[in-house]
Amino acid sequence: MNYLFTLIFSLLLLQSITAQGASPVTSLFDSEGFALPESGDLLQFPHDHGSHPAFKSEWWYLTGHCKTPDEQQTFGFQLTFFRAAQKNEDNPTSFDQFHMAHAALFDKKTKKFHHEERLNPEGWNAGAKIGELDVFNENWFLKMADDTSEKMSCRFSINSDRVFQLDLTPLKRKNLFGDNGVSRKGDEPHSKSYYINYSRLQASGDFQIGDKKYQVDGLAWMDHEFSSSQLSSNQIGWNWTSLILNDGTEIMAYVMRRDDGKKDKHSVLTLIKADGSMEKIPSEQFDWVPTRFWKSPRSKGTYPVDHKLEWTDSNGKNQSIRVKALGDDQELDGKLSGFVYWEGACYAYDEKGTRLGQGYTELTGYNSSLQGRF
Amino acid sequence: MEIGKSNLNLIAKLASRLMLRHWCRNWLKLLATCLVVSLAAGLYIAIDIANKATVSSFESFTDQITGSSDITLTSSSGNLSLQDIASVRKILINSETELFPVFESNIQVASPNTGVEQLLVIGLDFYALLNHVGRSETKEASSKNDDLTSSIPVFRETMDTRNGFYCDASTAASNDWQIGQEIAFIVNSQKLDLKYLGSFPTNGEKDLSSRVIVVDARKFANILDQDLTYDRLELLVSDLDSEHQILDILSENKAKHWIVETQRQRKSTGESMTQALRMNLRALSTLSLIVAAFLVFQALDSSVVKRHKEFAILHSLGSPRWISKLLWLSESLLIGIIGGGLGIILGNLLGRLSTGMVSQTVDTLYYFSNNSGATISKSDLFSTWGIVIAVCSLAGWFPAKLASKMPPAQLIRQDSKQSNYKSHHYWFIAATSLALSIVGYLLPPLKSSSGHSIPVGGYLLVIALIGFFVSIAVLCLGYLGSSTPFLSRFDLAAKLGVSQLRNPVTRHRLALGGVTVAVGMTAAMIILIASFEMTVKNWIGNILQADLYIRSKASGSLHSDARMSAKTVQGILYDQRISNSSTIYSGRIRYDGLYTTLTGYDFKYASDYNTLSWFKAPMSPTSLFTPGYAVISESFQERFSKSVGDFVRLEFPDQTAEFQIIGVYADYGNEQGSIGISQESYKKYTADNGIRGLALHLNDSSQIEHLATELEEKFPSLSVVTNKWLREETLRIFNSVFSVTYALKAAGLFISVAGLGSMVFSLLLERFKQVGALRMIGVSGNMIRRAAIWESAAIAAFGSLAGILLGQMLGLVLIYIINKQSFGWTLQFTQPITQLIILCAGIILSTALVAYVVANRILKQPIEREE
Repeated sequence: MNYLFTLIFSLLLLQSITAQGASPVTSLFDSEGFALPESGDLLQFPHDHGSHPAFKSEWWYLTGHCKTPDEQQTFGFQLTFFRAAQKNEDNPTSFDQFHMAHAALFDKKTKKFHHEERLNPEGWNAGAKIGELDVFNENWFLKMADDTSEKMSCRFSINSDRVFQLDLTPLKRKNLFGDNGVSRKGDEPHSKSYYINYSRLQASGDFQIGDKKYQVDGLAWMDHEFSSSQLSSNQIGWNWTSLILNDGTEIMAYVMRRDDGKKDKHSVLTLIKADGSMEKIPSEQFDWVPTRFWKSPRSKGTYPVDHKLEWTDSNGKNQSIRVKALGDDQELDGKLSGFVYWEGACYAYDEKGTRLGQGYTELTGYNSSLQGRF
Repeated sequence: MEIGKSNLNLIAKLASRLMLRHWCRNWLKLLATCLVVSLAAGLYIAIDIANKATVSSFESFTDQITGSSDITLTSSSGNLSLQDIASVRKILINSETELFPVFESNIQVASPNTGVEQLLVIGLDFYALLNHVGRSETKEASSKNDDLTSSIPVFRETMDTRNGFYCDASTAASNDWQIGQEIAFIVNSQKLDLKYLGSFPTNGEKDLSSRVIVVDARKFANILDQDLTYDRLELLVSDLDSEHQILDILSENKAKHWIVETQRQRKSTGESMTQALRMNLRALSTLSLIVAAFLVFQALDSSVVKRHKEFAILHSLGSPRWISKLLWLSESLLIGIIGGGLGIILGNLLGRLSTGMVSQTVDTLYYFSNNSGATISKSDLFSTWGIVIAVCSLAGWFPAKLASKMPPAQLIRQDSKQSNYKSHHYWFIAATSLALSIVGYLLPPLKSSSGHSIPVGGYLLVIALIGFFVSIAVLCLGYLGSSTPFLSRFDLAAKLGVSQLRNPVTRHRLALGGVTVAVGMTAAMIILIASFEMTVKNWIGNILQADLYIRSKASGSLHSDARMSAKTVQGILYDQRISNSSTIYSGRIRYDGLYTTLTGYDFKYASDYNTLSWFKAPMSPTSLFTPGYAVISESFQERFSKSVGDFVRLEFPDQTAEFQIIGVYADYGNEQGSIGISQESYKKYTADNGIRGLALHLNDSSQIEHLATELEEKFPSLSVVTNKWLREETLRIFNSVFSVTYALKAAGLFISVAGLGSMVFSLLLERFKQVGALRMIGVSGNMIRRAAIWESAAIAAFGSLAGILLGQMLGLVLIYIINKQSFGWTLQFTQPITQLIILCAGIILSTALVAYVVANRILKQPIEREE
């Protein structure tokens, strides 16, 4: 879950919309006319893998770890496509769609972080199809290659010198987080989103750097989320982590950070077991404990790049996992959009220091408070 | 031949004694010769710079922003639609090639503060650009391992301004625009206010041109309420892709109407548009070099003649002849080195001036050029320097060769006045020239890749005719000297002066040759321009028959794409005072990959008023209205070798259309050629409904001025002009087209007068003894002055006469061969008698004046100072 982008899109002065693209069918609209998520078994696939322009904001979020067979090249990667609706300057009854995209690579050998941001209005250079997963921003794309197997493919590059072409095959069925895919984020009634997830994807394909091309293989995580108003007014930022563990389970946890420094009650930790069943750990039964901080020399934000997740499972047993960043400087500088956050590749360890798996962590609102900005 | 130490010492001594001493005594002559050479070299370089600026500015404005694109994609007809651009994006989704759609249009400052009225507006996709800048800056910072100052924050803050524009600081300063200020502009037939946002972030290598404003294409089209289309799509191929790969992908997937060109092909497209113009300019600037070579030849020959005795003595003493030749050659080399070097400085100084002049022509006729000037590469500069040195060496080689070959006794016996050249030499040159001129006449033109013909035979004919006329004139010079008994009846000084020509020396002959060539070429240009002017006058008399003509104020040149909307035109035609009207539609298209014009004619109006001047009229006027038929201009006929009965196939975005040619008409406003089809067909195929021009006929001619004023008040963005004004304006544009030609002509004449001055100076210096003797026996200084004036004026007059005859022949060649083959225009031969008389009188008077000044200077020298 990436609340950050709700912030971004809100700052784009989102406005009311027409009913077109409001599938899943919803009767709820906010005061601006944007569609709102509604509880019930409403999501339909493959249609809802596509774009939903009736909602104010939407994103397709891919993170993962890949390596070459000989481990000469090993890295974490991120590819995210965002869509936001914005009021047309000339005609307030019509709306423009904007598309932002981020791609990042963390080279585990060199410990170097490379990233690129793109921003385009909908049109010849960016777009997202309604009814099927087919989203692109310039020459980056993510699309569903086969509706039955739900195999996807993507291509992205970073500053035109590192190119990925990956096939993404689900190793587990997709997950609908929250109540049949409707995930609540805050106290306010509209603070919720549709949340679709693939927690374990086989990622394989090519990675090219300069004139050298490598075959790569690894595991990835993908979220697809759309909403019109996710965050409550008392939230200043959030921490989010997705972990793909070696034992076949996955963990997704987010903490909504309130302006009084406390964890919001709508924060949640979800365990996805090897058989695909999910166990939701509510806010009061888990903790996100920062264990190490890093201060960005650019934004001056101080991020808790290492942390510990502690929770009590359904058997009443206390569990913990230590999450450690693979590199400190994995901050996306928001050069084009102006929004700065930390999105970093990490490993998960038990208390004895045994590596349990890999993942990604997102930390927002650390260089400045997000309160009042949406 | 071995150059031993002793030989080196000898060369050094002789160079010091003979060469340096001579030139130290005659430093003024050396300086004058060098200056003339430098002027010619300067002109040559200046024209080179202007030509380069013209070519490099062809649609290169976006280079300043994104860097030079590798591949350009255009549409064979009209603009590229968003669908086209999206298709390319999809085709190249697996490559790292960056895409930059660009549109260009003319824009007029509504209330210009300075002379800058007409600007070019470039529309870009600001977001595509923002992403590009983001990548570029990251790469640059990464390669330098440093966080650089980013231009993104400022751009990001302002780029979404709905009606914003950027331009370079100098344009803003010259117009007194402040950041945030709204400026009134006229685009097409609309007036709109745009907010000045500041300087545009360029790629750092070049500044944005001072004649350009940059807008976001999407927002701009929105303001104008127009569909967003682009003139071209520029592709920047990344290091990960190869240009070849991208071209292959595009050619496999391209739509029929797409034209894909590499930067090199694109450059050659731009070059092809101005090829004829540039070739003519190059020919004119080369002429300056040839005239300068005459002067060098003359100066060195006089030097040879003057120092015969010295060298004869040296040869008698056993000094090798090759050393003499080397010394002569080093003199011409010296002149070439000094003159060429000064020419480089002068050429660079004149470069901006010549660029401005050539740009004016290009702006008017071809495309909006980037007037920021071009630089000439070091290799080009050195090669030009080399050419100048080679020309000077060649000019000095023959006198040196003859002098070194001559036996010492004969050298000593020769009087300094005598020439080394015999009349049979000139007969030989005349006969060879005549034979070459026949070959030139028969030689067919070469066809360039641009479709233009290169009149190689015409150029050969020009050179051969020059050779022939100069030789004949030189052979006849002696007869001029024999006219002294007749002249002595009027003035003894005339007898004294002109009698010098009885046995003309080489200097006389060279001066005569210089004047003949300069006057001949100038007269030919005068005849060409007068013929052009007369033809154009007659032509516009035919095509301009309406009372009022209306177009957008933004259309300031023949290639401008400013249009009026149908709604605006309807608003005008509502007036009851209008009895008849006609509209014209036109747009740039590509045929056979080359730019030409497609025009949608109102053929009913053209037939009713006979506004098309036919070379080959259609068999039946009604066939003009039949779909599938087209008429072509004479230039199109020449350029694409098409004529009546042939077919032309045109690719439009939605379909391919074939037209059969049924007529050929005159169009002197467009040397790229044009195809005329009916307006219905034009609108159907191009989907371009923008009206380029509107002609109105009124019921009452007394209402012309009144209605013009009324319409201009009602439609402030339109230019409403009367028939009379438009005729004058057309001629003004015509004159501006030739402005650079006038400048070159003036320079050629200046060199020729300077040559004559140099001749008089040298002759009088040579005859210093004789002048001294005349003064000793009581001949007055005034008499000597007048004799000098008569002598040079006689050569000037005789040269002018020969030049005028040469000019007539060259005029015929220019009009019927070179111009016809280069531009495809048939012109009516016109004889501008008054201008030719003024030319001759100007040459004779200036020569007389120069002779007077030179003689005065000589007379001031003490008689005792003899060489």
